[in-house]
Amino acid sequence: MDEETLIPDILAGSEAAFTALYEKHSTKAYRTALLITGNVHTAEDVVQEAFIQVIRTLGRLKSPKAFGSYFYRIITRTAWRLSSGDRKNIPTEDTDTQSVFMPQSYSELYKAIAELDIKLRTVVVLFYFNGLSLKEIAKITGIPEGTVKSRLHTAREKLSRVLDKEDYYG
Amino acid sequence: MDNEIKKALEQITSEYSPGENIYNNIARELKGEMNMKKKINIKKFAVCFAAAVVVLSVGVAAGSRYAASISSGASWLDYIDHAPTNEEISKEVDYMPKHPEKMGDFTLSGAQPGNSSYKDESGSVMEETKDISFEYHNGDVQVTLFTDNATTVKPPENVTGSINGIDVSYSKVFNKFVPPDYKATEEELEKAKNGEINLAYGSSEVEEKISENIIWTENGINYHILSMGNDELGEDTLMQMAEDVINS
Repeated sequence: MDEETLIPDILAGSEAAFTALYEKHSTKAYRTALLITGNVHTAEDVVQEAFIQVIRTLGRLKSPKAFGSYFYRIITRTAWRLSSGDRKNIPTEDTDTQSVFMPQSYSELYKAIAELDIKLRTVVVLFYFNGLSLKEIAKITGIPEGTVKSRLHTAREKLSRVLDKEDYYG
Repeated sequence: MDNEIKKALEQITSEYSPGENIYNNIARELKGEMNMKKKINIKKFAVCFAAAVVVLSVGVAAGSRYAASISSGASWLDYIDHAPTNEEISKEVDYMPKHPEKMGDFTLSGAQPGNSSYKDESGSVMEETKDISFEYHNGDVQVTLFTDNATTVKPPENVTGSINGIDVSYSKVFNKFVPPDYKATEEELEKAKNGEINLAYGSSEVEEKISENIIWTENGINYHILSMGNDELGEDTLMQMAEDVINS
């Protein structure tokens, strides 16, 4: 079911409609939060807080068609806020190793993405992982489209150095 | 390079999914609000249907300026879980109803904005309004003060008292909540026609409850205090509550 069907039902108090909306978006939202925060526990907190906020503010959404931007704006803002308490997600000796997101594949590339400033990293994630346009990212992050473009350019330059060095193109 | 980054992000997250605890935590967080708000909606539905039955029982003439039926809805998402400020009320409705902090021994604890549609006998919409109801508690006992500024509600004919020159009407109604597909008996239909029973369609199961009501109109705003599912409060108690509202 699409948002045009689900949202009016949720607004009318349907828990089943909320469950359907959660199932539709939670995995992508969780992975987005994971890429932005770099911490599995923080990513879970982001998803939890974001969905609660969605339920409490959904009535203000002017059109179901705007749900995507509205939802990822909440995910992004919540991820930024909760990340600020994560000591920049840098693993230390006493860090709970279960909570740090350390993928085995593409480890160097991911390390480079993780080392980007969170604002650059967010743009990279929203553009490449979520497939959002520059205009949509500008709306979600609250920065001008030109700034999104320049952040993406900067991020790509940094990542290209890693890709060249690691010869990802094989 | 773009494809490589995209592929990398997809692959490194592919084995990660949110745990079931997240959904459970969200559901637990929202459960209380959902139940509370659904309960209010059911009550409101019943009250509005009661009004329709009363109107029908006295016979609304064709072309009457009064509504023959009222359908109401409210979203629990809009529920205000505290005594609302005037600013919060103004955001929801275009009138400012009286809503004292205390009504008898009951204390204001929340508010529920909603919408109502008033229809004539042919089903044509006569007016649509945004309204708000206020929830009052005394321990576990709850009463609700409904308000609206509809102009097509037929005034009660059985005036039972007067407060500061304002006519008020107290009534006790037997309510039967039934599912939408419930087939009423001939006896129930006759009683409903006579205003002896309020058949409220829309609940998930059959439930019977007595309600006490006191209704009045002041400065174009319709007020309705409802006590439902409680031990009988009595006419004097509801009159005192109405007086607290009118004098506030």
